[in-house]
Amino acid sequence: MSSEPPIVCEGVGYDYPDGTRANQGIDLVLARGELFCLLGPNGAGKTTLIRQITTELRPTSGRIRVAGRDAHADPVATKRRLGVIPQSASLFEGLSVENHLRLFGPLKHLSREQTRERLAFVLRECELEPLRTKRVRTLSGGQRRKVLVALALLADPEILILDEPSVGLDPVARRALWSTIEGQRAAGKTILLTTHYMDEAERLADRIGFIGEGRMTRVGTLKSLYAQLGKSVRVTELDAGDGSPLASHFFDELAQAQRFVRERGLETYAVGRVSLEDIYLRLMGRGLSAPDPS
Amino acid sequence: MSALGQTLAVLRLFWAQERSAFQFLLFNAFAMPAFVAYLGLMLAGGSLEAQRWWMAGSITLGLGMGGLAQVGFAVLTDRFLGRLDLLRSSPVSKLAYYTAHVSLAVIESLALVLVALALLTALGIAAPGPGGVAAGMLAALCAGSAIGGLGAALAFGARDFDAGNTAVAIAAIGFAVASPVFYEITALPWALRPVAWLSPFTHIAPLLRAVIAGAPIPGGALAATLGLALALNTISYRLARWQE
Repeated sequence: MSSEPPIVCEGVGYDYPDGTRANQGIDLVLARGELFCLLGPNGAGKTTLIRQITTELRPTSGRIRVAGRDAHADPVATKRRLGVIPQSASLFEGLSVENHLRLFGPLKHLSREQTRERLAFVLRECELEPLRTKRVRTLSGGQRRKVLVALALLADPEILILDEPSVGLDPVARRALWSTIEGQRAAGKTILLTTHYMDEAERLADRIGFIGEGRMTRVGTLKSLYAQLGKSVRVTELDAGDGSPLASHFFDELAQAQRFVRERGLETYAVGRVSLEDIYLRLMGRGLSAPDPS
Repeated sequence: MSALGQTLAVLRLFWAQERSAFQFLLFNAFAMPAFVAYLGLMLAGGSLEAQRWWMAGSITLGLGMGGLAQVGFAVLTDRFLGRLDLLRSSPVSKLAYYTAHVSLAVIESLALVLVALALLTALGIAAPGPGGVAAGMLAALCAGSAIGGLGAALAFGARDFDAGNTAVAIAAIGFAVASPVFYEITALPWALRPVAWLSPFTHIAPLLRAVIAGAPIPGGALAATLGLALALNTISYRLARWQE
């Protein structure tokens, strides 16, 4: 195992042939055993970065090292270190769950014996045992996601790259997925996760990176990100008619917020703790901006 | 794992997924030539030469159209329904993935030619010795490679599933009609002859005619089939996007 960090991106960028810039100057270092969550709006460059790290897309600038080696020098060797759930991947409809895992074992360079052992483990880990003989075409969306997770875990990779793994899952399935991801982190895996769900990032991430318009705009732990915002309480003015949010205001403490409500004579409002979503909206320039009164 | 081992692993995956499609295509590839041959035999009036001519043409159409559809639709499904993303995220080489796909057409060609030779021998229409069977396998190998390369090129070059689907269907029917399989190339208008020369069907048919008649394989047709196989596979391999 290399002593270098599992994933190192240095000044990574990608320009499409027509000149469109997908991402630029991205620096990112993931520590061993860390769960790093990448947040950003659609089209911000999250999947581009993921595809660059998984060697599908060669950066037009900068370099990427995976497990201490140039990721793009030998893509097959790089992929042997990774367990990936691509955003748009789908399964082979005619195969059973068990056959998927059995047939992908050799593709992930496992021997027959290793495949048998790992198959039993991932079926248990992903709660797929009752579905092992079911064909994929009979599975629900959540169950298919579990099979994709099982495939990513099959070769016991040291790094997991999960591109929006919980999209489209119901709350129960999401929590089951979170539990599997937490189990993998506890086992020492390094995990890079993209998501649009703030609660998912808050629950799982050791560190969070915000990506917008192809640039990494902010990176930090949840605590440090809250500290950067500098406020802890949010008051959201609500429309008296339909209850939709009109503006948000941030304060250091609850007493300031209460004074603000009194002075403004607000009748319909909500008070809450500052959340990751507030930070996200502020960073992406889409916050319900209003002059900060404090 | 070696490149061959990887190719076989991918092929096992395809085989398991497409088993029902394979059965259908193998049946189709055999049933269609048998039907056309039956009509041909009726029309040809019993002349052995005419019967062999019709059978060679029927087998050419069977393996050509079947293989083209098999490889073309399999690649299109991989590309546009997300299976390629799954395979690409695994440590599989592009060469293994590509070879496995083209192998499907080769396997189908080999199976079809072998079954057809056995049937024709039983009917007394062909009398290939061991050398003839070997020549038939060589012809099937070249034919399958060329057809697989064509199907893969159309599917990897398509901008979306519908466009690819249409291209594969038009190529299968268009080449079947415009290639001199049941007639001499001189029967075609001058303008269509270059297209016919570029069709793998045109060169596969004389190979199979020679195999069925127990004659030496025509070197020109073999070279043309091999050349087309090489060119089509080179083009489609370059079109296949594994790393952008």
